[in-house]
Amino acid sequence: MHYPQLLVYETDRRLASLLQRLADQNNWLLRQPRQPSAVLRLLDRGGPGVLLLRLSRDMEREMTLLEQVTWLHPDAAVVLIADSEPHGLSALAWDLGARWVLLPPYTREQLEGIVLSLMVQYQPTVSARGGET
Amino acid sequence: MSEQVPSAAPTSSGADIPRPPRRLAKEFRWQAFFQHCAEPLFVLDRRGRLLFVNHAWETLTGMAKEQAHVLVCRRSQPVSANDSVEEIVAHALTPPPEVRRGACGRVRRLVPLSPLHLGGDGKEAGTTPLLYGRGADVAVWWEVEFLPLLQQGEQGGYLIVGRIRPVQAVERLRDKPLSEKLVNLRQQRMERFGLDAWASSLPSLRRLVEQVRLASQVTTPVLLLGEEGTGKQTLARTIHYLSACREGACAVLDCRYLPPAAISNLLFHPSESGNPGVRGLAAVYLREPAYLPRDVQLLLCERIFRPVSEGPSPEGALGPRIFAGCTTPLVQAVRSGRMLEELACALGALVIEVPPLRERLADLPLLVGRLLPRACAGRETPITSLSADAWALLRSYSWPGNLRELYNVLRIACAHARGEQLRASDFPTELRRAVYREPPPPPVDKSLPLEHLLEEAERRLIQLALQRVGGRKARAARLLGIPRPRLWRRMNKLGIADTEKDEEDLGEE
Repeated sequence: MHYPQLLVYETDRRLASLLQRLADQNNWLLRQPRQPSAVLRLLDRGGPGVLLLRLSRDMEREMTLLEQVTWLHPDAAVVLIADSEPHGLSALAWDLGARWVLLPPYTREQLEGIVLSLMVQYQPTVSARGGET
Repeated sequence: MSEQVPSAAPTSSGADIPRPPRRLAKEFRWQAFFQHCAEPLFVLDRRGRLLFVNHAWETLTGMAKEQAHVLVCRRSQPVSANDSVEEIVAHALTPPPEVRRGACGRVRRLVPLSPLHLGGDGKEAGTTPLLYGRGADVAVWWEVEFLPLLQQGEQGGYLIVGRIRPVQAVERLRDKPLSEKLVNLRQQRMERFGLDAWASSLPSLRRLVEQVRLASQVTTPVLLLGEEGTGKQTLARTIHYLSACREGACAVLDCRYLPPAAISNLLFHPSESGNPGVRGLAAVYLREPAYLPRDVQLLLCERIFRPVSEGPSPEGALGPRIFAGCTTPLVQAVRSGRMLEELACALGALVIEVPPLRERLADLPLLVGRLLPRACAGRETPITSLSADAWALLRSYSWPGNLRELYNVLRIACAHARGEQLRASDFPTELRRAVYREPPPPPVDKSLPLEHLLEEAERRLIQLALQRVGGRKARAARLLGIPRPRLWRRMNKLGIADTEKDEEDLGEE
């Protein structure tokens, strides 16, 4: 049986620690890959899920990963989270296929609300017909 | 003003381009036609040199004609407020690729001018362009229309007449713009949503492509109707990236799985939500809008029916264009009480039906050819072909999950494949079992009356425009961008009733 997976890609463990309790309560697999290739591999093998992408200072790496994930794994839902708002960033993220963009100021409740809503679509069974494109 | 070809070689983009023949430019007396036009007009040669600008153009940009004549408008890279006025204008007036190939085109460009361009304090008398905000660092959109003038035997236009229409102030400039790599990433993404992906010999797909072309020329909401996984979202992005607003972003909001309050805040109260993400959004694709609560549906209705303001307006006055994707006809959603009738009417101005994969099995080789490189990305040895039994398997299946299912199946098969060819045994077991259980789908032979469908779309657009402006035909004609007599003729031909008196009868104009 596949459990829905919640991937958190960030440089520290701040977001993952915020969401650990929520993941435990809902039987989600909370994973924290540190490399873009690991994110793609987990989505390949573990089935679709929600990916939280937190931007670092050099945001090119995360934005490239966002583009790759939404193109190769259209079933996965990517939420982009940024601590600042460089000019045109949110517009680019929407264009690259992010399901949601969280820019400051956002609260923990907002973050949990978005993750909870998006995880609903990933039921414990996975078929080729998938969820979303 | 003289329409002579400029003699100066240095250009804003740095290109050293040979001068076009003087004879060609002299054949046209642009000044006599355009000098006193109220709208900013310009003429480019095939190399992007500005041959002529009229008085309104000079007033709008704050540039004198002598400055304009050394510009070469061939800059594809975006500009920032730190660039010079010449570079910003050159970028804004750069013709899109289809115009260089000889087709008419319209594109909306962001013009990030700031008081820096006025020499610091923004008070240089006589040169202050109209598009500047009053002392504010405001970016504006220009909608630039290009009309190439073709010479017989020429493939590309050898002269291009252009018109600028400032649309609105959109945002205050902040930090430095995105890096070139990120801009290229977006460009690469946009190119993936071309109409080529929908090329087919099937009549239903040819009709679809024509409808997409029509939808890209207007700004009304578009309803995409089709089963799950048929590519409605892809089609919405394709329409957006073909439209004049292609340089703005397109967001996809899933009304089933996103909190309604978050969607409402993003679309209608971005400042309250703490999410300023709606800035820069030119289009929004709402997946299954019937799942939205009724109050949000009402707000959406108001947004769609609000008359479009002309010219520069306060920030955010013009909302993003709405695309909606539904799996069932809106009538059903209205009957079941899940959707407001007003919203169904507003969204149904232009309906595009996306056929399911089982009705386009003839396209299977094309579709597999397009999806296969994407499905086997990351493999050391790419998959180049499918065996005969694999093709037979794919053709025998009814594809209830449509293109999405096809892609997922190919991905699974690519993961299992050992060589450069996919065999039937590489495909998921469920697929093979389903094929043995079910009979092959019957061939589909439906009539596809294109003329009738286009007329239906035109009728709906005219009705929507009339509804927006209270039945006043002059305003409706302006809204539709056509002359009033033409609107009269089309209304008569399409049998649309004239319920209201004309504006002139009411003494308003």
